[in-house]
Amino acid sequence: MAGRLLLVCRLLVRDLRRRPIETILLVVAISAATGTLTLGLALNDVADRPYERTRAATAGPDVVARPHTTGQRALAALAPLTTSAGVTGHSGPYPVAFLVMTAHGRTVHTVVEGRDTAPARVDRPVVTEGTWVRPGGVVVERAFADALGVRAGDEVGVDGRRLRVLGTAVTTARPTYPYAGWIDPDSALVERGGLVWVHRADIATLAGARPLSYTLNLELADPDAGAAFVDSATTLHAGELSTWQGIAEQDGRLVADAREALLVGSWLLAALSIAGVTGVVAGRVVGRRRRVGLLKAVGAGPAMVAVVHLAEYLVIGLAAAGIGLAAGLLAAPALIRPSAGLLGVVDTRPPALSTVVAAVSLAVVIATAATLVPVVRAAFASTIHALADAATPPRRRRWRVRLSRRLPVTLLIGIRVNARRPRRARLVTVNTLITTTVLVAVLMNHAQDEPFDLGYTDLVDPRAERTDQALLVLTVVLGVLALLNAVVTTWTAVLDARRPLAVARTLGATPAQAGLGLGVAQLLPAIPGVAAGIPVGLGLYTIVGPGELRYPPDSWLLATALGVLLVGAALTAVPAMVAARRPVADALGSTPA
Amino acid sequence: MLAMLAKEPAHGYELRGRMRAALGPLGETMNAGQIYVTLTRLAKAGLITSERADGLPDRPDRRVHALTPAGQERVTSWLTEVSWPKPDLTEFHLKLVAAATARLADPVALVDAQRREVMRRLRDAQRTALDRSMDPVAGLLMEGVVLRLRADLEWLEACERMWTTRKAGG
Amino acid sequence: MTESVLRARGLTRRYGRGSGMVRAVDEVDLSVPAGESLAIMGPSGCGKSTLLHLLGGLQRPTAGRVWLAGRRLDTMSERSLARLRRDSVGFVFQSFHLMDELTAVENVELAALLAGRSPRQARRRAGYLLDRVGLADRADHLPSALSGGQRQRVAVARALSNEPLVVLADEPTGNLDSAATLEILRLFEDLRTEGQTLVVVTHDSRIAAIADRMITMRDGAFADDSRLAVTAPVHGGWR
Repeated sequence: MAGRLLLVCRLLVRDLRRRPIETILLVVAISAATGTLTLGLALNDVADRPYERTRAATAGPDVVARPHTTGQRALAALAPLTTSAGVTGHSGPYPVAFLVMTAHGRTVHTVVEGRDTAPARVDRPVVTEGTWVRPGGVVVERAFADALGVRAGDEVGVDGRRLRVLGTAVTTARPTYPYAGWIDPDSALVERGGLVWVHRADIATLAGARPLSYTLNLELADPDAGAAFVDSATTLHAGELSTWQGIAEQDGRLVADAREALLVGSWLLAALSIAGVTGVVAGRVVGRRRRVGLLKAVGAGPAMVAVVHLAEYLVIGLAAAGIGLAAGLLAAPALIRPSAGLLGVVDTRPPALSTVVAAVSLAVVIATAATLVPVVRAAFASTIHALADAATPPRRRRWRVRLSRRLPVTLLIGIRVNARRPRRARLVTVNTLITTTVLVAVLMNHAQDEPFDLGYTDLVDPRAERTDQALLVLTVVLGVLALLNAVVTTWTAVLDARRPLAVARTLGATPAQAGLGLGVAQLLPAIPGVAAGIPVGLGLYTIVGPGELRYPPDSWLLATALGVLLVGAALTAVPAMVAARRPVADALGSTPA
Repeated sequence: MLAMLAKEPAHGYELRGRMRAALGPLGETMNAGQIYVTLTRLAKAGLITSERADGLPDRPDRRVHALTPAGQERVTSWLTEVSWPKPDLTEFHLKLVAAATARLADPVALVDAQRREVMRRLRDAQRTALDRSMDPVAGLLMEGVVLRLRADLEWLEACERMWTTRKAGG
Repeated sequence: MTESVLRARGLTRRYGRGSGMVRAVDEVDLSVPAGESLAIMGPSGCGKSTLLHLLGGLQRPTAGRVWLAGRRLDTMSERSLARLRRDSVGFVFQSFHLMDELTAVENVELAALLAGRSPRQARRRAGYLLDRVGLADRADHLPSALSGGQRQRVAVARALSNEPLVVLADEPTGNLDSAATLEILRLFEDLRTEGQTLVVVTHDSRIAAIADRMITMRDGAFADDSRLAVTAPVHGGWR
């Protein structure tokens, strides 16, 4: 047993060392897919955990009551709640006014809450900068302060009255900016806005003639019984009561779109990486059929042969899973960039087990999916067959050969090179299809950009901003993978076609014709990929994206399609031309290894 | 044999040793009688002189043999000669033709039989040639024999091809 | 007569079908006793390589039966075949078939490790075999650093790794120049004198001349079978 184990390990290590470039390509391809998946899954965790931490630090309420009525009617509706069954504590009711605040020349919807200087039993916002409220000053919710760019010591105007910013703080009693729940007094519609705290004594002056709303924070004996408590409440509608889970969910919504984009993206990337891995593996296995035959001739059974080869890809897959996990987990906090309204973003807790399992399974699935068929086929192939020759002989497609006879030399060479290896041509198609799909989806997202209404001014929508960041990450990873795949297919194509092209050159084709011919060979299968990618990308965004859609201009789509094709053609033509510059005899003499 | 005396005069037994060393295993078959008969013939032709050595009984192997000037000349001309014995293939070829035309025997069977014989010789020659203890200079001669036999085998293969197709066609 | 190591009855291998059918091996009967060295010769395409593959279980016959050490090969599973090849057969190929990424000694070890020997045993055996083929000083060279003859000697050492019942060689000198051929001839001659059962398929008469027995193949069948070891009977004149 020890001997066999040694053998498997030795073959594995030697082979990896012998083909460092391919190994690196495989690791990059697989880790790109697992990394994106990890990022998507981790965003949820990253969003949840700070909320919980902040809730603990601020003695966050289990249920928050915010009646839609105002004044005495609101206070009357809230009164029975404090003595309801299951309630163990409360704070408030605190007066709330829906006003506007001006800071650095920008005016935005602001929820103003009146608080006492002394800390409350429930909901004690944690001051992250400066001090807590006192008369004449205002404390700004941290995410809101970040968005506006205000700091302790700045001056802001609330409904025209100048107030000094005392500090910034975080709370879990209301969702962070921009979902603080600003209610238009005229229409009673909830709009986006931020939260500030003032001293209870100041609020009446600030609100002026407007009636005050109230908010009541409750603590329950069983924090998880919030939903039941909401159902049992008689004096308020369900809509006027929020459980802490609901608020957490709203905070998480900030990254929900980004998460969805990343998850969908990671599946696309997984497909792309399978395509890439298949390309690399096919090249490797073909190169090693002789090796399989040899192993069998000296007495290795099919199982042993399969183990030797699968072990290698499993090792690569696991290594890539590790790299992808690490990259995804490291990138996640940067992407979620503090929901600044919450505490403790940098988290040292290990990633959720489910995330690790998902990422590792994805890597293993990619590695095995791409390798299983060729490896099993090689393992069960006749020994003599495997020993005799490495590559399957190229196939002949009659009609293509016949068609190409009527075309110019470059096209002729291109079509015939393709006809030799239909499977590789299909890989090129898949590669361009996925690339175009993602690019079109990104374009779609870009086309959705609409002004973000904050009452009187436009600020960056943190939600859209995060989706944009997610898409940027996705696009960059995709670009890398697509380039990688293109390089791999090109490289194998150049190697494989070296001899026929050399023969063509002995018959009088110029190096340029040979090189461009190879470029054409890569370009032809890319065309259907690009053509299908545009509708698929649009469709995908329609399914996943928000309800109302705007479509990007046709010129953008056309430019994307042409860009993808051009990059692909250039990627091939350059190495092909370089290869074509070599003397013909070299290419004829060197056997493809 | 004259050439073996070109270096220096030698006793009969020395001469025999020299011949054996040069021919290797092929020299084993050469007996002393042959050598002395040849020496006597050469002396009669005036190509060598043979003198009785002092203090030794007058026996052919105790006489010292040396080249005469005529002998020297003969050696020189022998070295520059380019004649090459040609292997006689005609006989076997005729055998095959006769066997086929007169339907006396199957020519392919004759080829097979002949091949067996040549292979046997090749095997013997090769075993000797592979013997690691053999002097490399003598080994060279064996190498030549092996190569000749292989050429014969190749020719037999050509015969086989020809007569197999003839048989199949006619 | 000694027990046959290798035996075949009505062994047939056909390729293709209908009018394009080729009988690579056609109803061959063969028996190789232990210790015999057998050379199979014939023009290229006569089916001699296919026959060797059938005998070694590298290929399955269309019809007929093969026994190796009394066990039927033609009905065996791929797994059992692999085990049998590992324990009882040593292959030597024309193109060496060494693993390019493994050194000479690691290549020789390969078969022993597959057979489940401990790494130390395998290494000791490989060292001994390499010494036997005269390559002890080249043990840590990669095949690319060895000459053709040296590579084939490594392959022979590998074939001997598990003390096979029979060594099957397919044109072992086919890719070698005459000096390298001589190295291999010596090695095979040594194997023969030690009583190793040998089946060599070749069209190189030199390697065939090593054997005790020679079979000539023509169109997939045996045309002539002769024992070279017996001293030549007086036969028709030659020259």
